[in-house]
Amino acid sequence: MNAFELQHICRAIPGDEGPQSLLNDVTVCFEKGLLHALVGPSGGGKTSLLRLLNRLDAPDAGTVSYAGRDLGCWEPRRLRRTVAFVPQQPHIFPGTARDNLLFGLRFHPDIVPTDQQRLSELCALSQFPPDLLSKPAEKLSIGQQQRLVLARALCLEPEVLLLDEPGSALDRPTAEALGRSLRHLCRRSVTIILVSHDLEWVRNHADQVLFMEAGELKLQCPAAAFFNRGVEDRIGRFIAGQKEALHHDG
Amino acid sequence: MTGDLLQLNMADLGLAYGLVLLSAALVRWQGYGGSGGLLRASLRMVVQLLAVGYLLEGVFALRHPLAVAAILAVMGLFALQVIGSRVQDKMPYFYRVMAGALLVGCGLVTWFFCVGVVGVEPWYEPRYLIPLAGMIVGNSMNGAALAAERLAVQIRRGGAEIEAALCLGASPRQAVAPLLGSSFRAAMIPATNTMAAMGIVALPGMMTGQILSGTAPIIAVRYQIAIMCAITGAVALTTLLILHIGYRSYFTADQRLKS
Ligand SMILES: Nc1ncnc2c1ncn2[C@@H]1O[C@H](COP(=O)(O)OP(=O)(O)O)[C@@H](O)[C@H]1O
Ligand SMILES: [Mg+2]
Repeated sequence: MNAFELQHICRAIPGDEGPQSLLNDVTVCFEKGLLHALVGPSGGGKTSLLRLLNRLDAPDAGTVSYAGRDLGCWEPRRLRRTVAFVPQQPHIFPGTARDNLLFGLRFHPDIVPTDQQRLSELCALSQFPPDLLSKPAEKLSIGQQQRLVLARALCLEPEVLLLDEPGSALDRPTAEALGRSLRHLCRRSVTIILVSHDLEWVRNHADQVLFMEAGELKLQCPAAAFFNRGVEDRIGRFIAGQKEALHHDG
Repeated sequence: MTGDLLQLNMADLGLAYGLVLLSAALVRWQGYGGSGGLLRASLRMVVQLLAVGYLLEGVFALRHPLAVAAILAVMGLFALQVIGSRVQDKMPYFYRVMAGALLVGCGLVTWFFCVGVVGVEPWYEPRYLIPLAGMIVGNSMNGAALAAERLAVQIRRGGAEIEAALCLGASPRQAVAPLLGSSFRAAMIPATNTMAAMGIVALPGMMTGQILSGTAPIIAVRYQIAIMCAITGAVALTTLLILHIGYRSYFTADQRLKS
């Protein structure tokens, strides 16, 4: 079953020299309960695509539907609670880490208050250290803030997680642990669509890989097939280039 | 009571204007430059005030609601123009929002103050309505400009904060609530400061004027207290309206922040 279906999505923004195309005729389905990784060079439109899925942006042309219903039929607040977006730059509200974790509940009186056990579970799922909960959130490192913002999104029990480079500020073991948590969520039929520049991580954790370049979706295939490609085309060279960069990093 | 007031004739005015000429001469003698600007500004002041004086004489004599309404409309348009020139970062539908908020905010408070508090009879009596409305609109104009500018800057800078709240299922209203609060406080600062300094740092113009024209100080003080309350109410109401109508113009119908 498909969570998201996108048909012929186009989006452009006004630029200095006429409209600048961010997404060009993107047609794609995201199957429910899988971990989908968007990869590709910077500026390829990955973030732009994620922002369409919870209606932070609207396409100029084409249709997006979630759970079989056009996004236009979803009440925006309902949709954004169901389809949680965690941007690359974490935004922290004033208060402690715990205040931040529970921040979304104020908008949803119908959600049962989070008890201690649920709080521990959310910390475990997002790899956020529970002993930091009473610290002022702005004092945390960027990596800790990223995980806190993920926990804040999970607190509302979303069906879909949209994560923009969730591991970009994490060390390798923490990123791997986060990958295992996300796999665990997928088993509970949460759909995850994330952007990553770390192909090693993608190989270890993703079900589906989507390669985007210049606003176009060039390839969508199972992770295994993606990494078994040769270096004969641009995508193969992109994969090889990323590996090389990794080795240069040591 | 106005009988107590010593009249100023044109010769007296000429004598007073001598002070401006003296200042200009001193400036010139010292070679500071700018005496021309001083003279031009002073002449402009004289012409503008005399014109307003004769206009008000006419309107006071007419005592016709339409004439009063025309004066109030000019006042409102002038206020809009001042707000427009002060606010760099204009929200969508800027003039419509400002005009609506000034009309409702100042209109309601002025009407309540004239009819309910002072008990002006008839309600359009220009001797009361025009100066009172002038003070209320003038102060609300400052509050409106501050509120609009502050809201625009905060929404532009606070995009990440607003979208973070939207992503958690907040309504636009909930997402901007903290920004509306700080914009409101900023807009109220002048009115609040004026109240705090009143009577100590400065004797307010209206009170001074009333005392000069023979009103007993205690009556003048009562008027001053009442008008300060009216000004505070009008600034608060106008500002609230601007913020609560204004923030909507930054969002689309499907609750996205316009880029
Ligand atoms: N709001 C915006 N204003 C200007 N340019 C934008 C905006 N959003 C995206 N872009 C541009 O659109 C292109 C695609 O961006 P993005 O979707 O962020 O790519 P990616 O996430 O794959 O790096 C980039 O060239 C980026 O500079
Ligand atoms: Mg990006």
